[in-house]
Amino acid sequence: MLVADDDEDILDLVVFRLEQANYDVASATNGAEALTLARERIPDLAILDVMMPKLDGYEVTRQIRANDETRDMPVILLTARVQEADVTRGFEAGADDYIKKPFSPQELRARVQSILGRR
Amino acid sequence: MPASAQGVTLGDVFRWGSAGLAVAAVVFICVLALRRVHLSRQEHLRNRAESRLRPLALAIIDGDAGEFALPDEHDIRVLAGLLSRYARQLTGTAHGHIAAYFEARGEVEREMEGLRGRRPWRRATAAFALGGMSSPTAVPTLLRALEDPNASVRSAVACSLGRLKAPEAVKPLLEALVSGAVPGSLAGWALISIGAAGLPGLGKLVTHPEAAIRAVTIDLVGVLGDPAYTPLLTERLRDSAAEVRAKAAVSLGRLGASEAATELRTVLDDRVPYVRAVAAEALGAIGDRRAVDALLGMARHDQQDPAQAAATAVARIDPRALRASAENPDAGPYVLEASDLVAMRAV
Repeated sequence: MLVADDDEDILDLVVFRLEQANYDVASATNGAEALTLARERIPDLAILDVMMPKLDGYEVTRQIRANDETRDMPVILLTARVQEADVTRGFEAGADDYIKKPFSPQELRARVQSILGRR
Repeated sequence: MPASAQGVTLGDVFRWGSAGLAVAAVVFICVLALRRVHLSRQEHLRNRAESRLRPLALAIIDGDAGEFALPDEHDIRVLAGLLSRYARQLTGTAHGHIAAYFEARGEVEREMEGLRGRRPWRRATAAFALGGMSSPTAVPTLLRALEDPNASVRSAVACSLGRLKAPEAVKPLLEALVSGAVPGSLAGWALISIGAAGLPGLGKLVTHPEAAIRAVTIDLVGVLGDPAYTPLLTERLRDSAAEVRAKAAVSLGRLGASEAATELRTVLDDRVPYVRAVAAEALGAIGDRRAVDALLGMARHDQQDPAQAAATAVARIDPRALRASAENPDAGPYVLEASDLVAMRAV
């Protein structure tokens, strides 16, 4: 599992929740690092913040989709922006789902399980 | 008697003065350096304590911490800071666990006491801290503190009421916003943070006797985006205050309330140009094709702002009709301008 967010508190909270559910988690604090990890480790799922330094979540998602090895990786966007246009932009970039910040840990876990269960 | 006569020359005075200044500068630099070292050390200690206490904080928000004891006041403060920061990022049951932690340690009670203190900085600090403790028991005390004589305290209180998402704070916050007791941006942020939970309270204020409160309320209902409030907002298109009619039109546009299109079309004849302009924008946002003829007429003959807004609205609803209208000799500058923009975007 890959989690990327430039806010360390959110990173702590998401990583903790996923590790507690027995997932192996790699974390990144910017978009470029997230993309490198996604290409190197090919995780089962990527949870990406939208507003990150270097590359934003939309661009990371687009590049994940453009690469043959990572094309099928499910992506959840973690976003404080929930205007319809932002959500549409996320889906257009290739995201599978989005979670609004602040988030509910239970909802995060349910969404992750739902996406992984679908695959 | 001249100074030189006593053996002290003007040169001596300058020399001693320079030496004094040099010593003062060295002392000042040393104080700054020591302060810097002290702050770095404090930060280092805090970071180390945060790393150590992070698993405990995460266990607390999960409700799995069990019994534990903290060694000193520094750790207690660091843990409180961590929990307060985590609370900002979470919704759901985590807030209950965070509140239980602070309530059990008597911290909520202590900060509520601080809010009754004599010094404004202490009251402001207490008000701000209460927002991070997630405890609804602090809300009544915070609501009373919204009338504090000090502006910084009132601002901290508004911020905390927003963080606590207290629906009962909607009316007092709106009143504070309108009276200027709390800066508009801060009170607005707090009201938006309260979110959907505050909508029933906002709904009651849509018909408040004071026009300024009606206007802010209607604006917030539009931002919070609940279509169930469309009929209430539509009624306000006939409000006696132009400011309220304008906000109602803007909010209906934001909500994309197509069921309000007929009423919005009547607002295109409002006596106030600004209200006509925002009604045109709202119809453009809704995409009301039945308004195109009226909007084109307005774009040709109205004053600058409503005419420009009407032409832009037609560009959104039906660009082809706009370009056809631009072919007419009496198209006017606003139709031509909007048509040119449509053509440029198409290239």
